[in-house]
Amino acid sequence: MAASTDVTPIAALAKLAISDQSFSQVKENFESTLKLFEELTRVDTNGIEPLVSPGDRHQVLRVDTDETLVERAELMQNAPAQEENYFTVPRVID
Amino acid sequence: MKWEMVMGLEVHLQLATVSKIFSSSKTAFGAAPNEQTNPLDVALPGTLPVLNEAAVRQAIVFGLGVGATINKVSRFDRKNYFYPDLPKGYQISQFFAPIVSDGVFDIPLPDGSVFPVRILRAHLEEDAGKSVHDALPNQTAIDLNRAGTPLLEVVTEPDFRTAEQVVAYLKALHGLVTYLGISDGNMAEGSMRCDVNISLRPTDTVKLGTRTELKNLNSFKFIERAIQVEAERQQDLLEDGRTVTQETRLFDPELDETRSMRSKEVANDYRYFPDPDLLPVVIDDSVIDNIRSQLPELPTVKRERYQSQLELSAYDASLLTQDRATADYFESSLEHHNNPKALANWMLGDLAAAMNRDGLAIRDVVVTPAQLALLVNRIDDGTLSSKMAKAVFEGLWQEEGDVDPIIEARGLQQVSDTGELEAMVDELIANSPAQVAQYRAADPDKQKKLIGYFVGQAMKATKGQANPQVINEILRKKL
Amino acid sequence: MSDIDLRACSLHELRESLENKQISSVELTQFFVDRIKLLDPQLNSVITPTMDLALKQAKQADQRIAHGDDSALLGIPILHKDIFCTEGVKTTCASKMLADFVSPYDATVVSALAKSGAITLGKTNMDEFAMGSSNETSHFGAVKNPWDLSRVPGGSSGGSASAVAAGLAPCATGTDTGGSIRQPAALCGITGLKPSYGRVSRYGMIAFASSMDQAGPMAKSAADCAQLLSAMAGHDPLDSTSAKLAVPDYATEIERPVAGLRIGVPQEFFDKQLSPAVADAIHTALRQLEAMGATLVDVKLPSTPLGVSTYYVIAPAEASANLARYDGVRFGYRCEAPQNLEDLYVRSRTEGFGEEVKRRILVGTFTLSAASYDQYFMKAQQVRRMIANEYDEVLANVDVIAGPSAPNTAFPLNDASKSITDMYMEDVFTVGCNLAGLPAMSIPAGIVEGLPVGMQLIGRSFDEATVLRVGHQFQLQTDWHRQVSRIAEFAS
Repeated sequence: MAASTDVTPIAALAKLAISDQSFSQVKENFESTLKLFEELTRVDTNGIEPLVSPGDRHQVLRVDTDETLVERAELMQNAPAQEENYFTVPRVID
Repeated sequence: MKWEMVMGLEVHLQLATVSKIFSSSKTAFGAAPNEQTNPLDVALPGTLPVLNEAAVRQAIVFGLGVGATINKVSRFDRKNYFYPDLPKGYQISQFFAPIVSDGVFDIPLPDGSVFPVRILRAHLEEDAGKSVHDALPNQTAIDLNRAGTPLLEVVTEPDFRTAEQVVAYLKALHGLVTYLGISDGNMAEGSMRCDVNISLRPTDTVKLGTRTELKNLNSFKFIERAIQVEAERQQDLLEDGRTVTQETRLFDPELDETRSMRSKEVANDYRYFPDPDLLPVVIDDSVIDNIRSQLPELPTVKRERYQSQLELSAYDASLLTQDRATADYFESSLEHHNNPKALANWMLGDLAAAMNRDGLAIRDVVVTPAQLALLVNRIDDGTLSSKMAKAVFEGLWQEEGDVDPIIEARGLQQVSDTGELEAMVDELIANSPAQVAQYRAADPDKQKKLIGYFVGQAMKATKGQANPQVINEILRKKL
Repeated sequence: MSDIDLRACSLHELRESLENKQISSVELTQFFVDRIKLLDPQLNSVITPTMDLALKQAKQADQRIAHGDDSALLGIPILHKDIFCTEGVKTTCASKMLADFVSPYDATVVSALAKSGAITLGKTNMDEFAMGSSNETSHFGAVKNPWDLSRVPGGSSGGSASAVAAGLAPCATGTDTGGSIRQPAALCGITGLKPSYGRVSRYGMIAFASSMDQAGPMAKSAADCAQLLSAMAGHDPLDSTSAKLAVPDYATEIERPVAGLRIGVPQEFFDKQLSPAVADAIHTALRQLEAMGATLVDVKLPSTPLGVSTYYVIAPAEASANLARYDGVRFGYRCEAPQNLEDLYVRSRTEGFGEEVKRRILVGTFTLSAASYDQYFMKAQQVRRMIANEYDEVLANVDVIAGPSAPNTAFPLNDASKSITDMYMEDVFTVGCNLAGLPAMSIPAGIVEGLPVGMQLIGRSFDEATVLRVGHQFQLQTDWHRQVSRIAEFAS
């Protein structure tokens, strides 16, 4: 099944808004990029293992010890909004 | 129509590590907001996850504990969604290649039978932070202390048919992970969280019905009730000819109902893909062998050993092995005095009653295993009657001191001095000629009953402190 | 001091001058600070100059030199691409999203270079979140090519390339996800090395596409790059994808002659996309290598044309997740007066990201979505392995692969005739190494119509030494790397 190339639900997933003025341009660019990918669908990749990361290396593990690298105040120094040591966002109604 | 419930469980266990799964922040419970965070937990630009060795080890321990396959190669994936307590905008989990798969966990049921639960998979993932909705006016407050706490998600096959089976499984799972020392299993603090997938189907059909997922089940009591309530709701729907909607539902214990979590049901596409920041986790056989060799005795093995070796009943064995602290207490007392049956009776009798009465857990009990062992020993050596022992136990519980000092202080020692007792018996015989004559004329069977009179009189004379066995012997000899 | 041309000195020469007290680090730093002040208004290569910090560090370096400290880069100024987190100094990634972001920690690359004694001159301009090949997507405006101010410097490390080419700094750091070090190095006539994936720590380097991002040095010569790489390379416990491998002594390795080396020349790098003039320059450079005793071998990398589409599936997919953290909650841009959480997310992201970044987030979100994962993302990962296997097979028979770094010389700014996908084609010769994780370097190899041409040298995995060696030996015999832009000639 070929995926729908409708850009609107994709923008919603990505939490991006597309303005009415830019919509046709965004749509055109989006579709032309997907067109570029069409050549891939024609490649025979039967039996080829996907490559996630280059090289044949594996995970290096960390010893379980605790360490504070940066103090809380500095970690939160860039927060656009904070109160009582919390980050804050508009009230979420669940 | 008759309906059958079909349930599968997803249990999130918080692993017992010092630091988080991908950062070196502390995992302790209850710190001030955002104090247990590092650049990674706040998802600062440029930060990278580095996997905690202890989390991997504990996942392997669990896998071995349920006889599952430890996958030589596992991977981490990103699960993408936006939520304020999910700092990176994705959760790192194991979607495509979990570390543990295909195990079987044998659950002891109260009737002594065993119910095998198939473990589909167990995978490592990170916890989200906490959204606090009532701390600040008009705002949701975000605390990232919990973000990145290591979780092991244990997923079963849909093997459950009754709420009792579910609860038995959860209790056994709790026992297992505390035995293995990989989680404290504390439901109230969220160290063990359970989601139940539940559907109904007509009895004798194979095809599964549409399921709902029950969330927010944080006590055994709620779980049992939530399942009943949800099953009734589904049954009503189905019998009305309506359909069950596949959705996530929340159990509200106050209203005693489940309700749809519509806010989380906005069709999400999690866009799972392998996390390029984390290379494959490769586990050598030598690592697995090493961990296997250090595994503690599993509850199922222990239970069988208690029955076969210590000759305890199935019921007692399963109670004593339900959690590690209880079993450890029992085994520790056993080291001081080798009378398993008596010790088991005391633990499941007076000790359990006292714990119940005062609302204490085994680890909070002041009576040490050594003290309990000595108490039983004092019964076995004739120092105490079982009635006296109960009084001594009460003294231990009230922290009056050690066993022997309490016996002395309360004047509870039995009189076993034969000289003293013989004199008393002689007097008794002299004063009861009629009874003596009756006894002597009776046949041996009757004599066994008649001797009770003399024992009773002797006990009365010594204010209950005489050792009844000694009295018996003397009486038989003299009569 | 007056008799040394500080713009032309190699890092080695600068270290000698510092050691011999011919010049102090403060003087050296002041020289480049003045050049940035004087010339950067025309180039726009630096987003945040750190002059006070630099002079303070230079003072400390002079004291260390006085005490006999001979750390490899002690007292030498460097510019950092603004993608590397620097404690206490703005790190913007050339985005409105991070325009005011001050990192509370240093990237490992930054701290490693500081440990070697390098002086931080400032943070360089770049394409926003490293997404671009022309440095026109920066929130802080386009960077100009010092060879021709009407042309692009390439991207995304365009600020670093432009600054080094204009003599605003002796060297700089860059990052390369699909060619972002090599292509601007080529277009600005400098030397830039993308190390093997895992050779240099990515910790503190703002992520674009995590399976391909690599930090690397940009300087005037291969020898300078070797010196910088020695300081940057090695395992970092904070980046579990960084390799636990020994780092060779590059300074010694590069001195070995190239005679006897086999150099593979892939025919696919010389197809119709390559401008004929660039092709001529590269052929001439290849004959030079042959004259030096190397053997040229025709090789085939048949999947080369698929590289761009493969890359433009994988990189945006990874980016779409990497950029999800920019949500207006913990740091970065937050929209004015958000009505609710959704509004906060959507407006903060829509207003905070530039067009190219949003374009790629959309594409990446799409290729990862359930309905297209197998068709696009999985497929691209399979083709990625095919491409990596082709490189491995070729490199089993040759020591390095050589070809052009980019299809053209620097192109005009605001070139309306170039579509989005035309722009992506700029990366056709560079993305293969990122997909395969191989080390690759661009070195100046000619001048066409007054604009520099870059030759690309690609090595085996973790064999930066041979790449640097071929580049250095070439530069011993040629002087393309000594050609400077008109602005660079401008004396302070």
